[in-house]
Amino acid sequence: MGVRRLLGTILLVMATALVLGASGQAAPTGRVLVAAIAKMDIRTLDPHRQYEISPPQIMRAAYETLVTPADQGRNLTKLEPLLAESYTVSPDGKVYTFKLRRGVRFHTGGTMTADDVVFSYRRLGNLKDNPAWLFSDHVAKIEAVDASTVRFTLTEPNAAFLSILTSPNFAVVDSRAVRAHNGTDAANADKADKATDWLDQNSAGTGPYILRRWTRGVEVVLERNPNYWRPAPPFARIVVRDIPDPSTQLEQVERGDVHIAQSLDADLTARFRRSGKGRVVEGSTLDMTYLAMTTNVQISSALAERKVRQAVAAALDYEGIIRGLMRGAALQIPSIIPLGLLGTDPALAPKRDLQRARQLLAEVGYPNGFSVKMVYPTRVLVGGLPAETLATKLQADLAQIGVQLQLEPRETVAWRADYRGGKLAITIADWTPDFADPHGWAIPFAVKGASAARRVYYDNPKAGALAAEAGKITDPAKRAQMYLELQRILIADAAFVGLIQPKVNIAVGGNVSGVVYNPVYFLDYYYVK
Amino acid sequence: MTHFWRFVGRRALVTVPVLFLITLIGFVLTYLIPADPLAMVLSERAMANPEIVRAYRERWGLDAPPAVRYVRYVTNLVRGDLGTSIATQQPVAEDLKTFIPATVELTLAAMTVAVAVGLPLGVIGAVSRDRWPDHAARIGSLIGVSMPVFWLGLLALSAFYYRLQVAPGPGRLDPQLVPPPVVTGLMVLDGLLARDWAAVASALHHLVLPSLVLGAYVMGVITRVTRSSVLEILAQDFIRTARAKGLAERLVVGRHALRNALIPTITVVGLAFGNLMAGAVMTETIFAWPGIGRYAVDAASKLDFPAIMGVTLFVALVYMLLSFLVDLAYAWMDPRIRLE
Repeated sequence: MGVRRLLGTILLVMATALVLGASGQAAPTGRVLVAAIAKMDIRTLDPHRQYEISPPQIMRAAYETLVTPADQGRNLTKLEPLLAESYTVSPDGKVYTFKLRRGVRFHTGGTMTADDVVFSYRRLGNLKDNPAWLFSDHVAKIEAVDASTVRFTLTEPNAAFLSILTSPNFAVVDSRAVRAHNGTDAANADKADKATDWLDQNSAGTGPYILRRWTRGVEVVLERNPNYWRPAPPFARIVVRDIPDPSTQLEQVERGDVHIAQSLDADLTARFRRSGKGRVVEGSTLDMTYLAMTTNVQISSALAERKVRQAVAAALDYEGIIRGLMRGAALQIPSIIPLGLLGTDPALAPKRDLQRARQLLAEVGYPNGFSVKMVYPTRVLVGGLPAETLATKLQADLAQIGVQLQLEPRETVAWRADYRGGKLAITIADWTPDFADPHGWAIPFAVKGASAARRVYYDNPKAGALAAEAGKITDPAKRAQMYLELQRILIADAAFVGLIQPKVNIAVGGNVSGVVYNPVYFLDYYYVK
Repeated sequence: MTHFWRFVGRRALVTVPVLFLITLIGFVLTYLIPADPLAMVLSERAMANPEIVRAYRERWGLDAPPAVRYVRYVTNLVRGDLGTSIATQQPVAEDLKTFIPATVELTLAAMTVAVAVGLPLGVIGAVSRDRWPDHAARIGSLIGVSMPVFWLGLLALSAFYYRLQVAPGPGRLDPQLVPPPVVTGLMVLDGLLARDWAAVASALHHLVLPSLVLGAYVMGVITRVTRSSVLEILAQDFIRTARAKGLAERLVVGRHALRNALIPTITVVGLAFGNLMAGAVMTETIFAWPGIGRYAVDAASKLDFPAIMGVTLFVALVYMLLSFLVDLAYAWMDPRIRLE
């Protein structure tokens, strides 16, 4: 019977493959580093367009910026030159002049000049893609003074400017190579630029590794840059693979097929520690989850009362959220500025005080509490916690002071539209960083009408003025004081209550070292050995 | 033969209004969701910058009223242009071409496993009714039907990859190997075409676990359906006649019973094939398989209309094609069935 023979053959071939595959694994030539990402959300590898979660580490390997966080990326408050050699800031804080490092060569062969920097950043702004605001909201003019000097004139003094420049979006590309592939930095670049397809598969940067190939949904392959300007990087090849299931990632690290697994939850981290097959590198993200309460009397008359919001904040079991829900893989964020940034202090964090909460409620006429609808998104929040779980916890916490939360899950897109439209009385939301400076949080949350503040109609002129002023002065000590003061005001107003700042756990296989977590670009492959 | 072609022509004509209706339903559904697709791709801060928002709306044609957008979409579709995905910024046709072959390869392998194991199990079960081979087949199919794919997948990886180390890890190919040039997108076939035997072996090796896992459910269903229909046929008069005239039992079952019993099995196989194509998300996620299921989930979560429609149309076409093939197979298996 023909069918039976065919089936037999197929089974035989599969069995042979099983045997062959198990014995015939190809040996690597030169050292190969394999890293696994759980949600490879790459939309593009064009440095001036990418704005997703996984591209920055690829960008960081292939491209470089003028300045970089000190101490291999550990120190977020101190920046040091990278492609720049030195820089000066004008007394009014509006003009930044950079001297470029000489003799730095692109993957494409050319030598970096000031024109490449100007082209790159103009292109970033004029593409008008997701990250364009990083340039266009802040820089009024950029010019090449001479072949190795670049001058920025800002729209207004901005203490966060250097920090913004460390974003991988400020990658310096070879202008000649990008132009040769129909790229442009002209004002109409959003329509005229056609270089993205090429940049998706090739890199025109100065970084330690060269982009060789990106296979959508599978992997990104990088190779050593033989002409790198610093000491040569250790790996011949780096493969960053998309392995959606975290426990599979971990099994691969334990078996030695993968060297760096980037997305472990608390359980997997504990399991990996027990296995003794590598190390766990811990880092603190700049992500956060917060509780938002409206200050608008038409949305909720109870919550519009400041003391009611304070009572809610005093009734939350912060420690239970961090220890129980997050299994300790998080910090309690005191207000809305993540710990580790300038002007933050864990001691500011509010603590649970049920007695005070009840007293506050009684003072404004809610001795028996009240009932309010909490709409929350049906998704997993930053740090891997389902919003559902957190909502249930908050409901239980608030029930203790008589505040009844009626939970209403809503599809994420619909929830987002309602929250952005200022329609929700109380909700939980999360926020991810744009750059590692408190300015990136202070403005959206504290200034009336800004993106986060307007969702709860938050309006405290003193907070708004502090946030604006702290973003302009350059003295770090003074800035730190102002941000501390701002957070005290925000905590007292309790329109936003900081809850969770998740940690990141990276599993690193036995013979690999030098993995340092950085919240902006995740990790710098140059230092991985 | 003209009869046959008239049948094909009629079926082809029906697909046009059905596909049109699907685009309309898809569009209305997407439009009913009270959210701005821009908010799914643009960040907070970019949304606050009117220049960026304007450039995006213009670029994605979102500045036009919905009716105009729909007409524009359908006009482009008629010209064979599926539009550009907002999330990947690639032509949807390109995206589909990238992700469909991986799913097709996996589904074909899974179907092969399911039929190769399920069919004989079903026949054995029926022939040895209520004896131990039957019980074994029933338990086997029960496990296949009742084990959720994500669980079975994790279990299989943990056992065969992690503990026993006989199966490769997730993915379609050993990461040390350079994939063969893409011709068909089916890794095994591309490897054969490039005469890259290492790639062929690795690709087949990587197919074993996911296809077993994905095929387990269908295998269970095929076993059960085949068993019951073979049993039913075996009880009929013509089987008694065949036995009475002294035909070997092997031929009674193989030629007379099986062929007649296959009709319901074919229906199941046809439907299951479609289900596997459309529903391999779980398997694709666990085995890091870059298939259409994961692409579809991603598109849906980003309100990426062109991508959602592209996948929907593809799945609709697959189902229509399958039901057509199933009808053809009926007529081939059983001459009493006419193509109409």
